[in-house]
Amino acid sequence: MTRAVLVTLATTLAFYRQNPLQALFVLIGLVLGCGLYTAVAQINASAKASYAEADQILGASAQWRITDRLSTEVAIDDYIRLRRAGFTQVYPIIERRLASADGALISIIATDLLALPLTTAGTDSEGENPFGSSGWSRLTQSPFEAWVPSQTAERLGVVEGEQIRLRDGTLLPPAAIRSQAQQRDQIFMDLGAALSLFETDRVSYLAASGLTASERTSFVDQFGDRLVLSNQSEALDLSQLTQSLHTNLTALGLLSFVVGTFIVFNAVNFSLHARRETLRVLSDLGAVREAIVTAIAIESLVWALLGALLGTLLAQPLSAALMPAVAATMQNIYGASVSSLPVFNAGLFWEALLLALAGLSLALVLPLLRATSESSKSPTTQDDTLLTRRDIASGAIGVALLLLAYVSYPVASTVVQGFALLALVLFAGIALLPVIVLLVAALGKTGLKQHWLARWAFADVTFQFPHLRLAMMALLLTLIANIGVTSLVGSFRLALTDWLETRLSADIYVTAGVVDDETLATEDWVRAAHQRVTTEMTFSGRTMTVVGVDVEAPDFGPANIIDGGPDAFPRWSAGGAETEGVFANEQLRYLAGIEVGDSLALMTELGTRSFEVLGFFHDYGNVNFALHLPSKRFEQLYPNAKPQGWGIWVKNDQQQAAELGLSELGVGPTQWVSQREVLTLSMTIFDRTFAITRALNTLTLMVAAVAIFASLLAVYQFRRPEYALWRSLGMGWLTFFAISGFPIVLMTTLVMALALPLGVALSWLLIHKINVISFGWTMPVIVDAQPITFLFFVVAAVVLAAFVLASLNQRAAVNNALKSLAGE
Amino acid sequence: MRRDGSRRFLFTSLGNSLFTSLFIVAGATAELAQAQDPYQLLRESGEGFAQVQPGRAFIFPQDHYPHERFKIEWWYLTANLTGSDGRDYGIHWTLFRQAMNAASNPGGWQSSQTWMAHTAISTPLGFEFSQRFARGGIGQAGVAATQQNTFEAWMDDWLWQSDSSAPFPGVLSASTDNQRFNLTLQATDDWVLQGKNGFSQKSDLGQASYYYSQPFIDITGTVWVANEPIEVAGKGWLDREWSSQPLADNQAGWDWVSLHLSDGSALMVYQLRHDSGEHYISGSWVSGSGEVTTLEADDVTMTPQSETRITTESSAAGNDEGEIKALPLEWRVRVPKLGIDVSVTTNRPNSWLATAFPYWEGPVTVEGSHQGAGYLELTGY
Repeated sequence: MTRAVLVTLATTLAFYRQNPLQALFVLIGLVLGCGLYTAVAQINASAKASYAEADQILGASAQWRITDRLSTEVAIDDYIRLRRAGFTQVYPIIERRLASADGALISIIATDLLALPLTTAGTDSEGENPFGSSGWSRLTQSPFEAWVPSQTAERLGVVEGEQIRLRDGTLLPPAAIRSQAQQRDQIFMDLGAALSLFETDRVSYLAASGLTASERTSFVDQFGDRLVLSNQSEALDLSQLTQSLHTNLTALGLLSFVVGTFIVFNAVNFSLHARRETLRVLSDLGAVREAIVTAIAIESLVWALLGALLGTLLAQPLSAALMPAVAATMQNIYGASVSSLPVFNAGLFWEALLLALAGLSLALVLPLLRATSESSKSPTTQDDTLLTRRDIASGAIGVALLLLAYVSYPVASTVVQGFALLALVLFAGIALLPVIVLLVAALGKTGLKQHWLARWAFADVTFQFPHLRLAMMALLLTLIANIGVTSLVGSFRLALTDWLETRLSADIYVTAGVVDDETLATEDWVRAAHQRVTTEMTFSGRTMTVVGVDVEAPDFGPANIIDGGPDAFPRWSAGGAETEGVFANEQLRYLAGIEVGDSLALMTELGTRSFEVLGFFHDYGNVNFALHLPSKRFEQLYPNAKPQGWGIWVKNDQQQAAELGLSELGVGPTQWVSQREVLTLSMTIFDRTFAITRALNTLTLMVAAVAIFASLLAVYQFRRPEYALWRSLGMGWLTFFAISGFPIVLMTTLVMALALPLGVALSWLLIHKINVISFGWTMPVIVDAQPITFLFFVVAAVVLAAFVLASLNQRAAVNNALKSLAGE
Repeated sequence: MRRDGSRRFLFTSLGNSLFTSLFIVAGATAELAQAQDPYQLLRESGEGFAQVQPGRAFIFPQDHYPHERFKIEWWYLTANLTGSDGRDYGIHWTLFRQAMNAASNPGGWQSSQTWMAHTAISTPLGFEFSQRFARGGIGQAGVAATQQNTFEAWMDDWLWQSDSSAPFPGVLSASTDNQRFNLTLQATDDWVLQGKNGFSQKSDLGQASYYYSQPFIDITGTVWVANEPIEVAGKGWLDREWSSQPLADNQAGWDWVSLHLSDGSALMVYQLRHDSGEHYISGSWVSGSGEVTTLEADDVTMTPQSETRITTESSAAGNDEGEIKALPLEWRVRVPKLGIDVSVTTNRPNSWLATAFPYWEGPVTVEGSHQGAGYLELTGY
């Protein structure tokens, strides 16, 4: 038996030596599939590892956070008081997110390394201590050092010793390319350097490790009147928050794998088909069925191992290239600091191997059964006039899936169910494709009876489709996903731009406390100036910001209200009525189930008050709840609330005067920002955020292109005798290519036609289901023709290229076949 | 055991500058182990800093406070105490100051001064130590006069608070992970200027320090061992020393004892170990009435009697990773002209402080011509 298996194996494997291209396709399919899947899984795992460390700062536990009761920052003197009171686990942190002069985003973290209670036990390989090291001196003494992790340095284009210039002209200390535990993409500097750089005597917050219950009691007794101690592990759960993005990424990874499996399926199917004769001979020579099956199983195992191994290798540079985009997304949407360096995870190799084996078995089972049972009939011959029962069944399934999706749409309420809906749409597309293609072909044949060439071409569609079915399905999947995600991103971008332009309608924003009402009133260039006041509370387990909004401020008006009824805004502006009104962000509607007309009881400084929700407003990207109260009323209810910055509207053509005026008022360059800059920065953040989607879209499209190319080669090889016959009957190359090329053109067109509505449906689902479930806000779905046209153009070009390449190969092969036939 | 100051990442990251300079100093034959010697700090040239010169006049209370123009300085208290349970307790509390550079101190968060503090408590249950670091200039650690012009030395909540501008009478409280103490310190005797009127030479190459002591501190107070208060009483010893380069390149470390003898006198002897084996020895004897005798190389010998193998906890400095060390924990100290011939032994061999500057510091018992108790310090092992 063993010998039989070995002989069988040697014989079947010889096929790949003769057809290296087929071997290449099996490999490409597996490697791309495994590679993309592993890359995405690796990115997810790395990001999640970062969340797990979210309560760690620079290698120290930061389970507790201490903030000021009345201020966004903590006075450094309070920190010293805490230390002197014996709270030696406490350390000060300054965190800032700033823009560099060339628009790059920079996160800065600063602490006093001497105060950090480290959790990392163990010894150091290099003996040195801060007490007497020149390194310590360089870090803490002017001109200081900014420790830039190498990947951040690469992103910013910074070299050792260089000083990064901030947007306002400030220079960071000279860069030292090095990093600490959990420094991630942040630039580290000494707290002394940061205090001096930002000209402040306050820090962002104090962090603390392991405070015992009695220490916490003692803290509250001694400092509770001014400082608040909160447990970080009870704060926003990052892994929960970011789950939907990861599910999204995993879905894209799996999609790539599915497309990869299509390629493998094709290649394996073809290689088995091509080896039918060999297998039959082996069988006639006495090789038992088990030996053949075992040999092919061994072959698959070898392929799977190779695929998983090379795929895992490919995943390394791939995830390294994609990770910065993911890190940017995390930071921008969720404020989660994630390292932009992926961490290699050996477990993923086994996952990839399992996937490859599963994919191969899937691709092998049917053809193998066919090949060994030797039904002698080609598995791909098809009746050229009628739809088979199988095609009709598949079409029916497609319709059923769409119906199921339609019916279950209103009830889907979790992210997983949302993605199940997406899957329904994708599979419906796949199931519908054959029946559509074959129907169109049949219609073409009947409709163009008098035109023989057209009939022939349509008839050839029926012949080619079985071979191209899988590749076309892969293309369809890719296109639906592409259109869906492109529309999602496009809609998001437009919605965000609109929102920013309304919300940021002021020309200049000035930090709180720098200017006041009276001063601004006397300035010539000021058209209007409004200040926002906010307070925070918890509602339904999330932070809720209550904002005092000037009813006359140009950035919040009736146009911003959703479902508010005509009198909502005037009623809200008037305030003070018997039932007072508030506007809530959509998040309250979708995540807390609040509807227009519902009452909310809010703690105010005058006691608990009841408010009626008069309408909602879009609040893109906010993870918290928000309520808007008219500022006059807000001031009465929350007299101690914290004033936010000023929004200043500048008179026409007075921008320069405004900038000059601000500096004359003593407003420093770090204390104000122009609307244009905020917009540019926001859009930069946005584009970087979605870079990952674009990259994955492109990659899946490439995989689909390979699938088509492989299929075309396969179909031509299958039909080579037939084509040789056509040629020998005197058919010109032009006619030949018209007939053999028409099916692919038609199929691609049909795939695109089917992908368009399904893709739009997908983006609808993403925006109205997944987004609402995960984030609690919606936006209008905007289908932009331009990127979709471009996408179709790319697909057409790719398919054409595949056709031309395959045809050239075909032409040579047919000529050779004819020559050998002629005995030359 | 907690080591507050085990700043692993810092040591790893604060670069190789020390390596470089050390290799230049020690030459190509230097072994890596030596290259990682944290005590190298004490051998580095104090160029730019104020230098220790003979003939300096000491002024009190000013000299109890920091001398920032000098590179390194310490306030070093050891105490042998007896508990109400009749058992021995040892206390060791030190505050070290170091100037990172010779430039004038900008103060505040950019202060050039760094502080390090050690607390070690030796009880019948065992030995526990804690190490802390802080920068100067921000009020977290230091030695300074309060607004009421009283002496204060502190690191976080470890605090030595005096009722006067001098350290005595004062109260000292500090803690380790599971133990803490609160001691009242009284001393009325004159300050003892070590060496030649406080000029304490460390090497023939000129290395020296300013050095004065208070050997006769009466101590009462409480030590909490695992939250159980134990009343203690006994004698303490305070050393004050500052310098810009206390060690010579050819000195590996030192052996030092401070002993309270049964006749009411106090003996301090140290030897700086030379690579050549010819050690630099010096010391002082203070009679019960406060009369000081300076001991030169011809007057005193200090000879190790045996080696004790102990397993040290891995050090924060990383160069002695939980290794087994052979330490001379049994000594014979002889001062023939004073009729002193004693053996110095310890029953607490595991008194190794695995700190950034690892060393052995523990209570010892004196037998022989005199009885007594004291502290032994071994560095550079």
